[in-house]
Amino acid sequence: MKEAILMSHVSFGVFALLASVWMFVDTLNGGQAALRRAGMASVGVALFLWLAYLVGGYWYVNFYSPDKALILNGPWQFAHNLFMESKEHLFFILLLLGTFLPIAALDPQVRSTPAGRNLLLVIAALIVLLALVMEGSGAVIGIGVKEGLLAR
Amino acid sequence: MTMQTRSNFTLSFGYAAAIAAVASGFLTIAKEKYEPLLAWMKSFTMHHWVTHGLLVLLLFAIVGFALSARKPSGNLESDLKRLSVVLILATATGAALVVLFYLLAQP
Repeated sequence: MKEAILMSHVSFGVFALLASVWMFVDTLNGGQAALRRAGMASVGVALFLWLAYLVGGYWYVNFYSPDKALILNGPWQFAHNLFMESKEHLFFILLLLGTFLPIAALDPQVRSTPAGRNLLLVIAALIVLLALVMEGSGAVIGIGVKEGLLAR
Repeated sequence: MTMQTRSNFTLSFGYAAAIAAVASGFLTIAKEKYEPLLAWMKSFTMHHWVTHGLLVLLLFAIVGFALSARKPSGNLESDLKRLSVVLILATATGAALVVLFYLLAQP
């Protein structure tokens, strides 16, 4: 069960990343139909990020301790000390941007001005960048656990 | 909700996100450096990270609604341009505070 929770956290994160790319492309397109789709995608980004936060947070608070002990007793201690610590705190920035994104993307004045569309591109790009950092950090943490197990 | 009110909402919550992102970085350092704060955050909910999230989201909501009460001023186009720059800088600052803090704390 806890593996399913962890994998759904990763999956929701990937869905949020894909929705952000979709939003970026449709905003870049700039047509009326594309901007309507971008608005829909922005809601998807927020929804998937919140699901990733709630599911991941539940796993982190309830199931991470044994993995943390394995990492800290193994050779890849930085997987927790640097990557997990950074990941769990950087996620808040991602969540803030993801929550703000639909507020901006569903604003008709934002969608109708070049500076507004540029703002949407900036937010979507920041979300993609941070989501990639999250996915990469998750991989390092996973290997940190494996290294800890191998060292036992 | 009028168009202008709606864009005022966008600007307000954009700045609120920027402020909360930087505040989250400072809160990370503060709780790691000041044990009583960490202890309070642990006792307030079951985990300091849960309290951290609640505080950041609360700050975002409070600042967003507080700023949206102001009357919109200036040119929307230049306001949106400024917000883009502020969000990039705030994200970079918030992220750098967290990553550099943990990087420098490495043994």
